[in-house]
Amino acid sequence: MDFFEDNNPFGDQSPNRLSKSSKHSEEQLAPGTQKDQNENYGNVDWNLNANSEEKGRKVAFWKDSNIEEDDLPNAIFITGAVKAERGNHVVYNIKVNNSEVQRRYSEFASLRVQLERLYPTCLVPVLPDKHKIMDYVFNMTKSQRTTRLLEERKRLLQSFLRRVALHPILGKSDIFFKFLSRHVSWNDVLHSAPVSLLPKDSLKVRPENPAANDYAELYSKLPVPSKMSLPVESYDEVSQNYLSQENSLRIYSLNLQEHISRFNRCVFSISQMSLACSNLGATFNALSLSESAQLMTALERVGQANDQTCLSGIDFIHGLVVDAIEPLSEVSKSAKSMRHIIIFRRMKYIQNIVVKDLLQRKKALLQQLERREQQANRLQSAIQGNDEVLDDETRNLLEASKSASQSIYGPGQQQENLNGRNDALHSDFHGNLTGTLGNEPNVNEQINSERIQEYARELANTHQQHSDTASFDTSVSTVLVPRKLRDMFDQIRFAFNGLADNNVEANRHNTMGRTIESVHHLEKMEALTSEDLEYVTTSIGSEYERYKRIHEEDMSKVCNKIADRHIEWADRNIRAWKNILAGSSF
Amino acid sequence: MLSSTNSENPAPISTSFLECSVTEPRKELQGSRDAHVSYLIITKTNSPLFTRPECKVRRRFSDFVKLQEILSRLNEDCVVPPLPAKHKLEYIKGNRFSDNFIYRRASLLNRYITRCAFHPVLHRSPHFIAFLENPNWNNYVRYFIQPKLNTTSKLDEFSDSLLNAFSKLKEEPTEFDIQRDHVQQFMLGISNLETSIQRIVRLEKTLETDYEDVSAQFDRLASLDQTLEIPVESIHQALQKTGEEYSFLIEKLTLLLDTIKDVQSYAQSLKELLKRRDQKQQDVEALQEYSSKLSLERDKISSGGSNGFSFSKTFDDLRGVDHNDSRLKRLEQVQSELQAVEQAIQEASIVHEAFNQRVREESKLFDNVRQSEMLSAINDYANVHVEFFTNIRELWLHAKQ
Repeated sequence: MDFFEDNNPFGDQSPNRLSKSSKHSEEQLAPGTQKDQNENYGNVDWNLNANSEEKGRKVAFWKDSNIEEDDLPNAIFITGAVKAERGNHVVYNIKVNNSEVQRRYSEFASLRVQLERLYPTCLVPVLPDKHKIMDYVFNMTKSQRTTRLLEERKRLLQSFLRRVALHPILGKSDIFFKFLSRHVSWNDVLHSAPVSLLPKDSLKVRPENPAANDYAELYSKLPVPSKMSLPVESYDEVSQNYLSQENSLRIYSLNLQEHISRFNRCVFSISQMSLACSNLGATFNALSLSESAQLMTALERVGQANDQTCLSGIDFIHGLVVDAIEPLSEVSKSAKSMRHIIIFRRMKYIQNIVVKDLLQRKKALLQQLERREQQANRLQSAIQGNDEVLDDETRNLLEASKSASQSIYGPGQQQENLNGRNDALHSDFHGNLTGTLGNEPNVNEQINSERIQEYARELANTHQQHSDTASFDTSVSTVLVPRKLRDMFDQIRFAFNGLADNNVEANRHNTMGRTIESVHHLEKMEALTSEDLEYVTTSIGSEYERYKRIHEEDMSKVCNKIADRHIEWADRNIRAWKNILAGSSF
Repeated sequence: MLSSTNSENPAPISTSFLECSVTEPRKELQGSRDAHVSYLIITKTNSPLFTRPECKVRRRFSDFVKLQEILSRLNEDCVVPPLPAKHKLEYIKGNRFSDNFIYRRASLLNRYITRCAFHPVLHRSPHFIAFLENPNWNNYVRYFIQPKLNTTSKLDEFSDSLLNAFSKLKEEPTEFDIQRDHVQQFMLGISNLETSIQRIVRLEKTLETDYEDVSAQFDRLASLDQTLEIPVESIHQALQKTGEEYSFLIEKLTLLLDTIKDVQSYAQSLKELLKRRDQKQQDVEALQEYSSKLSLERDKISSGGSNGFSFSKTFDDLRGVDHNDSRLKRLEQVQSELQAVEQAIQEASIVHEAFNQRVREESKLFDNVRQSEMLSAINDYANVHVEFFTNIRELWLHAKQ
């Protein structure tokens, strides 16, 4: 925050600052008026630094510059491009009403990147390419080509700035103002908050306010899924819609690319024609020299007409490039940008689903563990506390464990290489228990109690482990391990458990504790991602509407301009050629 | 008034008029070896040389060729308009029955006939009249013309030209030389023009395909984007029509190119006439040279024979011939020869002078014809373009709505 205090170009209450910035006007805003302006901002809080003072300063910026907010986009001009004093690059003069600032192309590019990261749900306007591949070449020298490139860049950069200013969110962003301000070096902006606070991955931040660090820890633990994590068929309806939008945007932008290349070819042909026309004009003029009277004037006029055709052709091409081809490339890039934002939403959606899924699994696991705990306790109490007949529950448990183990191992596998201990236990217990249960429930109770205790615990834990595996079968599992492999792993685990003299109960308690914790986290994350998804969907919805509106405006403007240019070109030529007929007696 | 269209021309203001037009090309005897295209020639006249005021005949291209041969041989002092080229390549390719080719040839033949009709000498030629009205043209040619043609064999011309090939004109550059230079320059300029226009036509062809491509792309765009369908669709239509306009322009410019080539070959005919005139002049000059040589000899004889020793004198002495006698006799001989030569020169000069006068008339005629043809061609050229641009303007204005 210190940075803002020191290099604050937006003015504050102290009169000392007045003289420093050229954007200040003589009038000072009273504190009362500031509050009024704040109210006008309404309910939406888009600002990075939700600081009313900051808001006030921004308003002051508008007031000082003597421009209405609506006019700002049209007040941005790129007036020139000069070579920087230091370094071998070109800087562009940006003039906003009264103030001027110089920025180079890479700073523009960096502004765009930062805007994308700070406002991941906003459609950021597009910039001209870095190294444009020349689709067509006039017969130009290198200097001419550079001039043309510079002119193109100036136009497109100006359009970029104006579009950013038009955007309801981006146009009022701090970083945009800093970019336009002469007193701020871009390097400083990059190294300070909020830019420096941004983490790398936009999926790991809160879309509303990526620079905020509440829930930062939670966010950093969010999974970053790939697009393939979730099959397309399982999307909900909203997401399906957006998916189809995504595809149609891709096709659209490809189509526009083809458009541009064909237009370029057309332009090239017209340029060739214009050259040929000027040659023809010269030939006619040469012919006219050796003639006299009517024929001479007629030939001269024809020569002039051809020259006019050439010149008007060149202007026509220039107009087409500026009014049709460049806007079309802008439109194509916007379509791509929009598509990226929709993909972002898709990723958020997938993220949400994955988190929900994880949560479910963890919850199921917790349930299992809790149930196991309960049963173990009951077993314990049943064995230790009273010599009563094993109640139904435990008997059911034992029966279930038997059948479960049987079902797990399968009929075919009972002859297989089972752990000898397991078998022995079974047969042993079988014999003992049925014997004792059936005949003398109270006799030999003590003798077998320890063994039964131990066995019960073992069995319960085995059951547990088997059930775990079984439950993993039935829950949403992304990993399908073949049955034999699984059994092998089970046996290995079994053996290790036995070897390591594991205290299964302690293990279970630990696991439970951990699971409870992760369930808590996941619940919070799920809440966050759902909330984020909501926000993203609504925000993107409105952006898409805006995009469609702007797109329609742009395209109809392009269509109109194409027609206009043709008409203009045709008019000029009609005049030139009619001139020939005017002079002749025919 | 000359016109390059196929329609009937309005009558010029004069007591006697002759107007012809070549129309209605028709394919004859198709399938047989003698398949050809015949053209209808309509003649309207009030000249007494014709048997009736209006006649219609059908001729084929080879008939025109024969007419051309006759006219050029029998009217050496005229600039006979050139025929359109034979286009041998198209014969081989088998394209000579395509509509486009026939149309172009018909318009060129029309121009040919009109020029002949316009020519003050040619249109009075009985052969021309026969061509226009005689239904039995082939017989006419075979029985009446051919023998006459055969007498003036080609060999004479050939020997003449060879004789004078290495001798140059003695006199200073005459008006005719200037004229020749003019014609040369003109032809050069015209050929430059031709190449330039050809290049433009080629470029316009590429432009047409490019416009088609762009319009197809807009069509695809319209199907992708429902909201913008109307404006994009109209742009697509407009672009397509612009492409079509270009193809029309190309057609018309091709016709114009034909006209230019024609003017060029007409200029070539004039050049040939000038060459013939030069040859005649050389003939006269050869005669003059001969006469001056003779007079030199006469002077030599009359001034008292050869001074000093000479073989003829001693030989004569030996034979016992009288020197004086022989000298007188020889003088007489030379004198009479000289007289004959002088007379021949006089006659030749008159003929030559008449020929020169004719050539002057012809070049003036050519100039007029050339100028008017070029003006009308330029007019057409301008009209074609104005039409082209007006159409484009219309369809784009329509698209804006």
